[in-house]
Amino acid sequence: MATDTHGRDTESLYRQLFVGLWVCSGVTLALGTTLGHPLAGVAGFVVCGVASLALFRRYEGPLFDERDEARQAAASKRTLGIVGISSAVVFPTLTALWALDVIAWPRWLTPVALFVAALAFLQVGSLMYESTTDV
Amino acid sequence: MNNDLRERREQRELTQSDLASAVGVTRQTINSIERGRYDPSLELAFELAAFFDCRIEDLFHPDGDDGSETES
Repeated sequence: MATDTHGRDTESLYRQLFVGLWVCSGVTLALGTTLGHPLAGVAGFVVCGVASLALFRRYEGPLFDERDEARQAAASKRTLGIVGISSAVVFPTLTALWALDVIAWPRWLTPVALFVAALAFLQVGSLMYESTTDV
Repeated sequence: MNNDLRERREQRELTQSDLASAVGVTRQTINSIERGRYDPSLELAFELAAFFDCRIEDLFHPDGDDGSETES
């Protein structure tokens, strides 16, 4: 049987490094911003992002392919579904409770609600775009 | 979906990486297809069939079909 140790190790290592660098870039940006050093956070984000892209270009052969796209599509679908169902339950409930003076509307919830609404409009827009590009 | 990918690859003494490079995907995708954990796109199925010089139905079989009668 043909062995494949080298290819397996290299591909896995590059994939893990690529993902790790992107996670690192996000964490760096978040930490820099919350700790009061936003420019350092952005610099860390850019450095990690550029490093991950350099890694991507350096690898010979595809690092990601159709299987990763299928996973990404499934994850996106699940995420949108969870956000959609959650917002369909949470926001009407909170609005009703607020209207009945049971709770005070939390101020921090307004941008969240607007973001969810924007996400829903974006999804509808993307759906309409996809329907126009069907052959 | 069942498939004969592993048998055909080993007949040619190819590693998963060799086959992955030949058809332009990652080694992990070849591994997943061989283990029946991922059904390839039609495009990749055609690539694999062309590589092994056979028909798609010779390489991939619906669940419950061992493909013993499809080879031409």
